[in-house]
Amino acid sequence: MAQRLDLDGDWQRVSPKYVWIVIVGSLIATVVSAAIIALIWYAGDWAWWGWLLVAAWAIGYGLQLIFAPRRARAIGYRMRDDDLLIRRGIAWLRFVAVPYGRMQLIDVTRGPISRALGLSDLRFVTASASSNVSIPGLPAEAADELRDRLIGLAETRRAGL
Amino acid sequence: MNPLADGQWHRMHPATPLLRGGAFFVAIVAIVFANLRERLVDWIAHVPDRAREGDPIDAIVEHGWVLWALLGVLVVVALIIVWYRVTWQMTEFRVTTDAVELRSGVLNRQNRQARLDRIQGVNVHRTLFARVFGAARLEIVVAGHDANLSLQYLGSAAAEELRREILGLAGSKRASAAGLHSASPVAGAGFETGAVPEEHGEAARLEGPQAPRPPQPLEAPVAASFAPGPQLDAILRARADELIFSPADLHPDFAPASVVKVHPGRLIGSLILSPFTIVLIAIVVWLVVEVARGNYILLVAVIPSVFGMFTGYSRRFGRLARYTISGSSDGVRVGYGLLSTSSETIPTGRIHAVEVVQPLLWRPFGWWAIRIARAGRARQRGQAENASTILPVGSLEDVGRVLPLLLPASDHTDLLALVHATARFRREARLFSQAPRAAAWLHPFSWRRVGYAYVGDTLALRAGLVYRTLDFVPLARVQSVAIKQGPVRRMLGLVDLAVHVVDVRIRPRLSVIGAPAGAELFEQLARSAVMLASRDSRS
Repeated sequence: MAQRLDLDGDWQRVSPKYVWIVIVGSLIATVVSAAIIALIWYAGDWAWWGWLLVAAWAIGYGLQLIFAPRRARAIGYRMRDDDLLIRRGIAWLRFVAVPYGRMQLIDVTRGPISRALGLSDLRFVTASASSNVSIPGLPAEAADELRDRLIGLAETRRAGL
Repeated sequence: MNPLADGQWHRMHPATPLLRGGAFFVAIVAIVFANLRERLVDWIAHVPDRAREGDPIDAIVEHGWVLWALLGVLVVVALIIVWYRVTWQMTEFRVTTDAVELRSGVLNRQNRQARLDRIQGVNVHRTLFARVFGAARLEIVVAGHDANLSLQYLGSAAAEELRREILGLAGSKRASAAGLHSASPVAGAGFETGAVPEEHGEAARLEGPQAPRPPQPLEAPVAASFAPGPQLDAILRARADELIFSPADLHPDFAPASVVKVHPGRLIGSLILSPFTIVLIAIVVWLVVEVARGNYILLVAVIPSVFGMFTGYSRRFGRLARYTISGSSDGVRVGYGLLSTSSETIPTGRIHAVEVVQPLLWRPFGWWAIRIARAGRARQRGQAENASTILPVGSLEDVGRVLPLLLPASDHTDLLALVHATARFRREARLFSQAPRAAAWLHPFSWRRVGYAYVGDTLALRAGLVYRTLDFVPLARVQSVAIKQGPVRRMLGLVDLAVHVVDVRIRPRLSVIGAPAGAELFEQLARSAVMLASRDSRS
C-alpha cells in the first residue's frame, strides 16, 4: 500500500556545504532550548515529566542532527522546458512547479554562515503568496548565474496577471 | 466618443472640494450649532441676557472685538476655500490610448498612471453624500497594494460612461496586443479632438451638456429649454432617480438587468446564520448565567461590545443589500449597497479562481455563496471581505445563472452538472475523480467527495461534507502547482495537491488523491498551465 511519491529525472542538488548550515542552525536551536530547560530545572518543581521533556528534547535534536545531511541532499531543482521544479524534504516531501513566466521577483540572500561558506539562497516570488518556493545553499556564482538565467526566461515568457 | 476620454487633461467635477470636504464641513457646522444653540434660542425668544461666566463670545462683545473676530473667521474660511479650489485646479486626469493618468497635489506633485492593459477592473463608488449631489468616484483597479487610481469626483453619468470607455479601450488594447484586427470603434479614433469645453463652477452644468445622457428610468424631460423651471425639475428628477434606483438600474443601456435577485429577507437570514452568530449567542448565554449568579459588573463591561457586534449585522446588510449582477461585453457587473453604493466591472479574463461554498448552517435552506480571487482589490474601508464575494447568498439556480457569467469559456451545461453533483451527491454519478478507499482514514466522512474534473480549460475541485466547496480555476491563470506527501499519506498511498492562485483566501486543493494519479495530475497541470497561459497572453 505504501507508495512513495517521486518524480523521476535528474535533479540538480544544492552544494554539499549546505549541510553545515543546517547543522549549525540545529545546534543553535539545541543550545537555546537547552538553556530554556536549564531554566525550568533551576526554577525547581522537577517531576517525572521533566525527565520526559529532556528525553524528548535529546531524541528530537539527535534525530535532526542525524538527518541533517539527508535533508540537505533531498533539496533539488530541475529546469524543465517551461517551468522550474523544486523538491524538498524526506519524510514530508514537497514538489512545486513554477512556470518561468509566473516569476515576479527573484531574491538572492546570504546569511552570515552562508557568507562564510560562500553560499547563497535563492527565493522566488510569484503573484500567489502560497507558492513559497526557494532553493537554499547554492554556491554564490551558481546562484547569480541561475538568477540571471531565470530572469531572462521569465522575461521572454512573461504571462499577464 | 466621451469628451472625457479624448486624450486631453481634464479636471474633476467642480463640486469636488465640497464633496471631499463635505463631512468635515458638516461636522464644523454641527459643532458650532451645538455650542451656540442656547444663545440662538435666547436671541430668537428675546430672553434677556443670562450671566455666562467666561463665555468667549461675551468676552469678545465686551471688549469690542466683534469686527476683528468676524474678520478672522472670514480669513480662515477664505483660506480654506482657496486651498480647496487650488487643489481642485491642480488635480487633472487624462485617458490616452495607453493609460489612464492622474496628476494631483499642490506642494507634493503626484503623477499616477494605470496602464490600460493592466487594468483589473473599474468600479464606480457613490457615498450617500455624493449621491445627493449626483457625483461618483471612479476607481481603476490594478494589481498591487494601494496601486489603484481613483478619480473623485465625477458626474454620475460621466463616470458611468468613462468606465465603459476605459474598459472598451482596455479590451481593444488587449486585442491589438494579440495582433488581432480590432473591430472596436474606440481604438485610435477621434483622439485629435482639439478644443476641450472649459468647465465652470456652475452647478447646473455639471450634468447636462458635457455628456450625452442615457435615457433615465423616469423619462426625465430632455427639452432644451433655458427657462429655469423645467431645467431645475430635470435635475431634481435625476437626483431622485439616483437615490431610489440601484446603481445597475440607473443606466440600463450600459448593463442588462440583473440575473439574480437577492431578497432582503434571505440576505438577513444568511447574515444571521453564520458562525459569528453562534459566538454571539454563546457570549449572551454566558452573560445571562453570570448575571444570574450576581456578577453584575460584567454587564457594564461586556454589554457595549455585544451591542457593537449587533451593529456589525446592520453594517454588513447595508453593504450587501440591493445586490445586482449581470454580464456585459466588458465583463461582469456587480452592484451593491444600501446607502453608499458601489458598482464594479470585472473583466472575466481577470478572474483567477471561483469558489462556490455552502456553510453547514445554510444547508437546510439550500443557500450558496460565490467568491472569486482577483489580483486587484477595490479600495474601500471595510469592504475587503465584500470585494471577493460575488454572490452573497443565492439558491442553486442563482449559482447556475451567475457561474456562466464568471466562466464564459466553459460549457454551461457542464458547469451546472458539476454544481449539481456538489449539491446532491450521488454515489453512482462519476463526474468527479474518486480518491482511493484508503483516503477514508484521513477523511472518514467526506473522502468520496474529494475529487477533480475538467470543464474545458478550467479545473474544478470539489471537497467537504460539512463545509461544501467547489473551486474552479482557469488553468491559464494558475501561478504554480504543488504536491505534498507526509508520512501518513505515504503509508496510505496518497498525496496532497494544491493549485496556487493570486488571492490566498481561496486555496484550491485536493487533500487526498492516489499517489500515481496525483503525480500524473501534477505534471498535467504544470504543463497545461504553461501552455494555456502563453495562449492567453497572446489572445
